[in-house]
Amino acid sequence: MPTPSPRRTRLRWRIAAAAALVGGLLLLSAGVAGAQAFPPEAVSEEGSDIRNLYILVFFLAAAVFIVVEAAIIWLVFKYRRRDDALPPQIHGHRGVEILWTVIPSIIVLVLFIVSFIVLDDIESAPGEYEPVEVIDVTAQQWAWSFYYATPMDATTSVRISDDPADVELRVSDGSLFEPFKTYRIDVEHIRVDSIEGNILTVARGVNGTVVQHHPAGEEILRITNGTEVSQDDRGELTDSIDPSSGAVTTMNTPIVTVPVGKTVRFNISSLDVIHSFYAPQFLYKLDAMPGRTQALWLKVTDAGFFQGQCAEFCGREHARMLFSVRALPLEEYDAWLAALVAPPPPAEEAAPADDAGDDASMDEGDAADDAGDTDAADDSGDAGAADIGAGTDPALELGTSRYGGPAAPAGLPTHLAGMTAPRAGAL
Amino acid sequence: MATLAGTVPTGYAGGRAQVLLDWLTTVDHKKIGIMYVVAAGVFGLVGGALSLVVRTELIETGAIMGADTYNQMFTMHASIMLFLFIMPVATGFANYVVPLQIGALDMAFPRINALSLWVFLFGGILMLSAFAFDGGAAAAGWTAYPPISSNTAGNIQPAGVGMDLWLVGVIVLGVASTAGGLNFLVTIFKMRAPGMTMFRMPMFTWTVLVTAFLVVLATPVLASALILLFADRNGAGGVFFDPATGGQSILWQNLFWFYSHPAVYIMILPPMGIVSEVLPVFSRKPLFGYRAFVMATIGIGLLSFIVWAHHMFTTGGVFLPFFMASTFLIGIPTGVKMFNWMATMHKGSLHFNTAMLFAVGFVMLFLIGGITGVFHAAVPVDFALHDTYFVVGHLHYVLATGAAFGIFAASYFWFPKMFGRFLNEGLGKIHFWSMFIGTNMIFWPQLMLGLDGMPRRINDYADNPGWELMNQIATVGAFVAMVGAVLFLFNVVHSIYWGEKCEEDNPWDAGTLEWATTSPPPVYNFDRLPRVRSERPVFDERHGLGPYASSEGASPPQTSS
Repeated sequence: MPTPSPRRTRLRWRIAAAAALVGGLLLLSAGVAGAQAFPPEAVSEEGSDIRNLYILVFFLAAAVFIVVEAAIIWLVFKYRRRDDALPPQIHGHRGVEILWTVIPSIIVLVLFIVSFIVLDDIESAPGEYEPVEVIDVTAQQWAWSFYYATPMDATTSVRISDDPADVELRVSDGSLFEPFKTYRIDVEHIRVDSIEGNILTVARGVNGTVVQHHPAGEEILRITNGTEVSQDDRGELTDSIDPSSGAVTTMNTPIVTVPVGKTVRFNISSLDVIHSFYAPQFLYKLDAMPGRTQALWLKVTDAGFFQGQCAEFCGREHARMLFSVRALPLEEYDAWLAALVAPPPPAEEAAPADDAGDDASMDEGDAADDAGDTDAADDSGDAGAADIGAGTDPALELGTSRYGGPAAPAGLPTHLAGMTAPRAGAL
Repeated sequence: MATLAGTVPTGYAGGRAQVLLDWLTTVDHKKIGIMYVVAAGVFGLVGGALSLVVRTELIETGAIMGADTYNQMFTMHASIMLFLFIMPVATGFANYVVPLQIGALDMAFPRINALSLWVFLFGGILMLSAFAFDGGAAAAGWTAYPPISSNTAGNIQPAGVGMDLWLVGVIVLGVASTAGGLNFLVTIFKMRAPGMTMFRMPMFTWTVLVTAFLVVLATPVLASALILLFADRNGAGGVFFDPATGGQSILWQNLFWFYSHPAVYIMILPPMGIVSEVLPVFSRKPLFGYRAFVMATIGIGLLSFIVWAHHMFTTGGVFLPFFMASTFLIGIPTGVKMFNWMATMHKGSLHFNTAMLFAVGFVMLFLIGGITGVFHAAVPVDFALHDTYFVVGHLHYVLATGAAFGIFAASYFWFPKMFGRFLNEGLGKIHFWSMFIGTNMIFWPQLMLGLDGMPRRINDYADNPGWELMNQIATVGAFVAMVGAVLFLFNVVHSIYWGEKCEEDNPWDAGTLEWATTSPPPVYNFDRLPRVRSERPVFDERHGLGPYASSEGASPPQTSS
């Protein structure tokens, strides 16, 4: 049917309106994209590398996006139907087809090489003699626990547990630990020199040794370097200050304290389901897999408070599985850790008498007492920890802050407070 | 139903009951195709409604519904959209169109075809029935990662039969699609009309062929994984996937994604084929670079089997460089397709009815899905973006504005062939624009939220600056898009009965064989078949082009729509 000209005019007007709409949308999206086209500023060396790679990919992608979308819009207007004549029947053109196979290939190859270099860089472990801070990150529904390692001698005795029933430790193949054998547990090597009661004397391989609470008969899945300190450092921290308004934010989330400028090895594992250790400003995440311990290397470059959150769906309270990162300058970090490890003041010494002797690991039962040290050391009054220390839920005894879950009390001010702790500078 | 009965040609006596019985017992690929599309459309509406629930929960900080409810909502939204909407609706169009496009009487195995349909319906109802039981539907995400999904004790995941029904439902759906896939393979290889060589097959048929290969090769892997997980939950006690009892949770991820990455292409290849039918027809040009397009389709199919672990970059259990390289490679055939579509429009005579709008919308928005995929392919960038809303935005640009737009284009394009009436163009335009605007309002802010670190699958979020606004834009967008979907539903129902009549065999001046028969076609499909001497015999014959140049003069009578 030939089209009458008034209809054609109307059609043109409609097309123009459509064009304005599409163009407007694209402009709008470009404008909105300007607001948030990049991830947050990185606060670690690895994060900066990743962010730089992101920026490279972004500009390549933006160029392709703009050129292709503009070309499509141009095609739409340039070649809209004007008459009923049959357009030239072009079936293809080998030259241009080869060209537009080769060009994406080159782009993809460049991206692969650059990505590979960055990947190699951020994934590589630090040199053998580079000092490394080891922090164990244990995820569980729905909490984070952070354990800090302190230096120890080449051969050390480690108390496993105060419970005499807890000595029957097993390695991954289900067999019992035996003296004078070397075990590889995840990324660590240890040699068990002797077993006496519930004290293992072990020699370190790369770094690390056996610690913590292990119920009888269960295999050891996770080990840290040296004397372990569980940190239940949560609640009533007032250190998060919005630089612009000066407003003080209370953060009731578990806090992992890290040194600035020293490589940290996070040993990440999970006690139940899969979680993911993710702080947006690290631009990095690693899944916490049950049954495995995996290492994430990071060198934090900026002091401050950063928000973190479980990124892998982990059940009911997944949205509330938050944590905070507190990055301290190295000297402050060392002082903080030393105070955390220091023996309890004389007044309290009677209580943890069972913990005397050997370079014993901090026992879970002592979490409440340690919290006292923590308070003294870094100014955080910690009423929550005291409750936890006396907790009846075995999971709570790990010195974690646990929120939600079937056993948790109803009405959870802790996580809600954490939920509303905004990250400065977002969007 | 009276008009639906119109697809049955003559000598048809009997009342409504007879018509109903005829539909329930039919082995005609056209009726089966229509029933597939209608059933999938209904499921799709349910899935869309669940997405509105999800978006409503996220409209502001603070939880509105319980997390258990929310987790069911997003789990079932994804499961329904993937297993019960996009895949079967594409199967439905393939069922209707492929035998016509290759000039066949029916599918190779009509009874197996009917079996596939009814098994599919059974599986879908099985999966959805979980909402009626105590504990509700599955809530472990559509990826169903153990140990969450393998736990039955109720200590780490709410106990209930929802997860079991989900597993059995997906196994049953797998049976349906495997049978369907085999049927398509045999049909396409053995039932083509004389002269219809492989390289004269319509592009939609090509994509269905490659899709059928993916279905047949990948689905058994998923089925075995599902059976193992079912065993873990019911008797085996987690020995396969739960580390607490000696299993390997990452094993599930490998098995699951070995199916589910090809599944992404099972979902996107047929819509790509649809777009490759619609764009040439309304540009009045052949598809640019037909052979390159076929090769790109096969290439994507092959690559889809070696990229599965790019969903697992942050698990720490993947050889990263290999999967990074293979994932980047996917960009090349996809890029070729983009350029071929654009070159098809170049120098064409573009007519923008609703089918064409959706096809062009597909090209414009699928591009965003493709580009955002490149970010994830670069492993270090994926470390930052994985499991954030950036992934959600990316996958929806591929599936919601990609696959679904293709499906809408197919609906407007083939509706007159199926029912002998056109869908209403005015409603169609509103449908398109509300979808185009709505989907962008949903998914573009989600990309930004992901960049800022908002994890996916959370029912509440921290009050970070800007997050609430972005989520509100997305929620409003979801309702805008849903208005379009409801309008479309109305349009379909209205047009089946009262739509503008399509008297012609070939209203669009299209080129493939389904347009060489009446609208709707007779039960036996063709009274006469044109000689097949090119990949668009009907168009070339009508206009005396290519191999048909000698038999007819140039500049044939014009048609326009």
